[in-house]
Amino acid sequence: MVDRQEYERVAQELLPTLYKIAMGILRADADARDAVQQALLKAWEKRGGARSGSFRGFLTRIVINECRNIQRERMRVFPADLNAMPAASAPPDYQELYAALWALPETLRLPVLLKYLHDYSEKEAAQSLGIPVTTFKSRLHRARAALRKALDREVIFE
Amino acid sequence: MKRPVILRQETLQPMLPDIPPAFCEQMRALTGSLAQQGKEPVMQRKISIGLVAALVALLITMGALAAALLSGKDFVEQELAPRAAQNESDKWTQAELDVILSSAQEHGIEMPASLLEELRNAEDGLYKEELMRDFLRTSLGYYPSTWSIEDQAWYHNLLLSVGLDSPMGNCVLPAEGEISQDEAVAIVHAHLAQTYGADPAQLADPAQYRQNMTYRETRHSVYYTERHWYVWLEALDGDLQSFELTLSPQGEILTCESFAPAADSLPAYDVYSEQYGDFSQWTQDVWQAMVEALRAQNEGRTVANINSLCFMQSRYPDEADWPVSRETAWQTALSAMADAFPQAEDVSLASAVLLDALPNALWKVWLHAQDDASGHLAEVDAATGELLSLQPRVHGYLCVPYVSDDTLNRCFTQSGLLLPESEEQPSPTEVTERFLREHGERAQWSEETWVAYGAALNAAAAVHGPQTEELYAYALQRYGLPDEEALPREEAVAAALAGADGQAADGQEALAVYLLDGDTALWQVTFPGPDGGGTMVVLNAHSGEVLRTAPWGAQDAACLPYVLSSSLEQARARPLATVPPPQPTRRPDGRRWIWYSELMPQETWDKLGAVQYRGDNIDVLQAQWTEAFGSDGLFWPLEAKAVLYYQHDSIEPDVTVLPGVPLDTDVQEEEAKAIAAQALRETWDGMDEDDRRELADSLGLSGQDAVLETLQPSVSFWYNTPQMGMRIYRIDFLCVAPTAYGVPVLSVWVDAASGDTLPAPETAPNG
Repeated sequence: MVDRQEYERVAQELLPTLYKIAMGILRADADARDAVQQALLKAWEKRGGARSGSFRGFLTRIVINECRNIQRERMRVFPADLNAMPAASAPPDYQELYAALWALPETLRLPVLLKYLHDYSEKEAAQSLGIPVTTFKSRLHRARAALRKALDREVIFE
Repeated sequence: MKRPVILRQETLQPMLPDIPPAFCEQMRALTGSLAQQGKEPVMQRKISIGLVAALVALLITMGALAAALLSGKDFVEQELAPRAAQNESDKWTQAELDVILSSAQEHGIEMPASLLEELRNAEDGLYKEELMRDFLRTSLGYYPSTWSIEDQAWYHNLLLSVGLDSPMGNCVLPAEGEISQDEAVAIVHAHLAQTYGADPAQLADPAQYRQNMTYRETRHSVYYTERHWYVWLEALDGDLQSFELTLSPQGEILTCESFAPAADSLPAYDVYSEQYGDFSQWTQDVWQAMVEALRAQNEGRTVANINSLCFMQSRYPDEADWPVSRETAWQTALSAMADAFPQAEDVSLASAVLLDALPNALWKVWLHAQDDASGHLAEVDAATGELLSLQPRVHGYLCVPYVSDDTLNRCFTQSGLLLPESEEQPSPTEVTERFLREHGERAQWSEETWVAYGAALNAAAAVHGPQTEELYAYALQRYGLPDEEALPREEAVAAALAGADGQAADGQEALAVYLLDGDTALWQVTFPGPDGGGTMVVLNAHSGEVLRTAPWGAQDAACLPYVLSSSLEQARARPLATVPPPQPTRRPDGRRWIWYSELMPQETWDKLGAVQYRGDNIDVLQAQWTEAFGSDGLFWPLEAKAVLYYQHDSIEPDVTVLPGVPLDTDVQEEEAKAIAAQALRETWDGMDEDDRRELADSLGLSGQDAVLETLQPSVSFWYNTPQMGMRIYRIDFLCVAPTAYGVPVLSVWVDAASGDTLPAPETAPNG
């Protein structure tokens, strides 16, 4: 059971990560803010069902579900609004990598970002996505293969 | 050999933007406020493992219900539906209702008192659909979701056939190869038994669970129609969990959630509303009986439901004991509405209930005006007839029109809940004005009022920003309720006076506020001086130790007696969220500013103009596109996508990429799709077996051959001004198989002028 203190501590620590996760799915600032805010409120209401110590994955899963809800509810007229993503300062060396990552299906991209950008453990990341750890590992493997093919070079996950 | 790419956190950090600082602060305030106010969550109680599902009992129960269902349904089908179809109005007039009432009596339809009241006293008419549903309730049951799916589908189609909107959703019946309702119930019971140890006999017992079940069809696009079962097993016993599930047409469990038992499941007001109808129709004796039943139901329990809390703390005296009648109270409220809101049209009485209060009972009157679904709430003194308050109804909880404002505020504070946001969240300034209006000057506020103010202010600031430095200080300050071991207010004031060491004169009206500073509870006591300002003394609320004494000058911030100086410093140190620039105004034709801008050719705007978007009819257009193409906008026509884009105010003035439609001289859409399909085929042909298999697996398809068949193009058209006026098609091939609906597989860009395929342009504009 997650008490108030744990909720506040984890939610506030995780804010920057949750926003990036939402941006990684929705690619629009306004939508990402909505997803994060709604998720924080839902996580508060549902914290009775969360286990202490696992709240990070629990909260992340709610954010991801909120992103999915927003994707479904709003008219997905454009898969990615070309004007929605604020310019991130990408070093030139990374632009090819980022393009290859964005080209991945979300089912493969999200595991990569959760593990290597947001530093989730495999168990936490799997919990966040609602999939078994074995499936999570399999998707990482497929993502790596897809990136290797797209970039025509070896991709090392560290 | 190419250098490998190393994927680590540092590499990926720049890929996504950082959280905007102002938004981050708002969310910190929100989570901090929630944590400050909240109670500990209720633990889920485990249910002992039960026996195998008793489906026979369930079927017998359903059969018994079915046997009694005919008369109300027949009346709706044979009498009401044809009458409803006679004109295009969605309401019946009183004259028409008089005829309906006679007809119902002739046909021997048993009608509860609430329905009779509805039919006899409908000066503003009654909505046709609502009345039909009320008649159906007499035989099918109160909640449509508990009706058989046959009855739900029948009613849905009946409404459509007579030209009425159906609130039922697109209810359908299982087709061949799809599971039946009985099968769905069996699957659900078995799943819950296995997963939660639920007792199927309990799940099937209508005295313990209300079974809400629908089978609905959603047409996402011309390529994909989805059906699913929605099941809500609603616990009627306070010790049981509730469950919500969705199932596929083949009986696969898609989602399953359990909900902790609420201490007051099936509150008495739900039971009474089934018998007596809408709360607005209840008489005082019904309220009295309901509240007694609610209290009995919750005896010995911790009640978390705000409606139950409020009702249980209310008393409903007899009207005869008070001189001001319901009619007088209604007229008083009506006059007040006319004075305060002279533009309000067709103000009508929604409800009036007499409530015990101090010093006198009061009438709570709920008024509706035309186009104001929420309405206004008035409180009228039942002894003097004086109007006590008149305010818009903000909160959506159903108890609100039937309990006093004091009860509502007290219960919210006690429950630790935040006052829920209305759809239009008031600003911090509006929140402050409301509190001052309702509770007087801050010097008069109780600790409960401060707690409620802090919570409401934070909720408002999360949406609007804090607006001013002082409001920011109030929002940052945490307020609390003294616990059992804290000094009472009077003792705190006395200790502060002693601690002020002569700097404050005895006899002055001291201001005392209970504040939280980290884990420390404080009393801040301010003794006002003769010329404004005064002396502030901060005490440890438990030990009484004087922590500091400071002067408060007339030139100092007015908020200082009510916040710690550290909160004010913190507010001053952080920049307020920037006020967004004024939104562009609309054109005279109601469209946004960007229409007919020079960023796209006149020809393009003219083509889009042919869509007949006027600035206020986007809902109508969306409904038309949904009906024609399904609900998934990805497969809508180019002009629909563009018009939807241009109905937003959030388009930046310096936008560089715009959606549109091709010029007459451009490659047209069908040709662009053919070019993209060729590119897709070439890409597919260039993939090795492993990659094709991997793609099929990732889409949940049984074989590679199915992959291309499941891909359909979603087309958009862009004017990409940084590239010298280039116009491009973007064709995204999306999977439309149910296993991976909407997953993008390949994107192809086509130059609209030349028909050449292009590399993907940069998706982020420069700066």
